[in-house]
Amino acid sequence: MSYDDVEIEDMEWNEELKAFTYPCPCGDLFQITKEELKIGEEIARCPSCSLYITVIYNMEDFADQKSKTNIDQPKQQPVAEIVWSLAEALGLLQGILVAPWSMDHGLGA
Amino acid sequence: MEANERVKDTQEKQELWSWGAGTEGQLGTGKLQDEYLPQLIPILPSFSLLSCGGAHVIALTHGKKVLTWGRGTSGQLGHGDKVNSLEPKSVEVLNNFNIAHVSAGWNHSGFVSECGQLFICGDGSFGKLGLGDYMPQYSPIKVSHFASRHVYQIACGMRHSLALLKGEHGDQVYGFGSGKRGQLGISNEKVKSVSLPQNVSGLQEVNVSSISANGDHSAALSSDGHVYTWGRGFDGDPDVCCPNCVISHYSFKQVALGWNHALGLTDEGDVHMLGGSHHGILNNHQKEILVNQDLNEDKLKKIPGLNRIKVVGIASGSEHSVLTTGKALLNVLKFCAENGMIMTWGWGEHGQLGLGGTCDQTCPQVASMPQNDAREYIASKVYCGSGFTFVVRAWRPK
Ligand SMILES: [Zn+2]
Repeated sequence: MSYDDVEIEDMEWNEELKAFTYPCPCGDLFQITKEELKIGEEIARCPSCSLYITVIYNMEDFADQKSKTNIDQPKQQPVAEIVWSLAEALGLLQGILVAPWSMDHGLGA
Repeated sequence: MEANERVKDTQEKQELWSWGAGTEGQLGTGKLQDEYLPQLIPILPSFSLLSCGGAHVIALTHGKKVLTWGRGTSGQLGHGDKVNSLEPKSVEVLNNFNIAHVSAGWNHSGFVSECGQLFICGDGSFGKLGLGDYMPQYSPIKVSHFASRHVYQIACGMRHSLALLKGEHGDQVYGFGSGKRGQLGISNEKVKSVSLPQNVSGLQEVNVSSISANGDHSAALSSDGHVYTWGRGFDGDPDVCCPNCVISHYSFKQVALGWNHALGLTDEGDVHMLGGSHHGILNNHQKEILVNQDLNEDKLKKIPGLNRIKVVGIASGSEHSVLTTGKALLNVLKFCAENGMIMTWGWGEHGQLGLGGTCDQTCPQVASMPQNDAREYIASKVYCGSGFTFVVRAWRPK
């Protein structure tokens, strides 16, 4: 049984894991990648235990983004990711990550 | 008499035990593995208070200094870095202060000094550090918003924090961080998040003796024994945006929150539970019986299987529960007569119940800790992190 239903905007992007995450009651994180979301996967699993959550999201938000970056230009680091790394280095990642969801920025923008 | 008692006090010593999820070093065993049975941790100082978070532990010594260990990747250990610590390590930034209260959240930490200053560190997303931004802090930093006002307690949840202030204007509770499930209690409507502390509404006339936060839940205990909860609804109930007094005939002296359940300890030494349909857990059959017995108790259910046992302390992990007993009311069973017996129930996958396996338990079970015959055990205090458990057992030589 799914431990919980969690909307994608309530999950946090984890740059190290390259996955959207949500706290698992075991202490680890439920995780789901953009690739999984793109193909319609809605279960985010925890690597440390048997629990999983159901992720509520709009599949179209992810289909667009992937065709623009990883698939068309696999060798190049997308500009967005460079900006992302810089932001993280500046310690701004959390602020950028959390605040924009509330303004309804689409993930595929 | 007094002199004798003081001598006795100085002879009182502690054993520190831990079990459950351990892969982040949170058990303090020096190993990175889960433990299904209680493990004895060699400690130097004695602790007056422990607080366990998502995967880290904050310990307050009787000398009012702070040690932390476990996961540190968000700066929640306050050691100035993002590194896990397998063993208790001093939070040096706080060495110049006498610390009186601490709280460990999912991935942030709060510390309150004797003179009422609040320090905070760890992950800053959702504004849960109360510093006006969303930045992480790797060393404890003072929450300047409260200026010279006296902070008395801090409670750190998953994505939010509560602070209890005492002063000439009475008790005031503040919330900061995520309010998506109503856990801040600062408005009649849900608030996405606030990064600066805001006053919790509806507690103005209440004398608050303690506050708690875990998961997306918040609670306050009044000095006259009423429990107030707000935040995520229990058992699928709607979320509550303002403190709501839990209906009960009983007077409570301790509250412990999980991610989907809440425990309350009555003055008589009984344990009542709210929610718990996840792993908290009583099975449905037992719930029905209890609901039928206690029609006027609203959603609070008395935990079964504890007849004749006086409970003196409770703790909740995300999905498990722990209690410790005092003297048995009736001296029927020998094991019941023991002071400081530990019982656990709920989710057991990581061994957090300390029963030697990973099974879930629907009723309290005795977790036995080895006894040293040369020691007289006086009392135990219990603490839970998300998937792990700590016990501080006080003893003196026989
Ligand atoms: Zn897990």
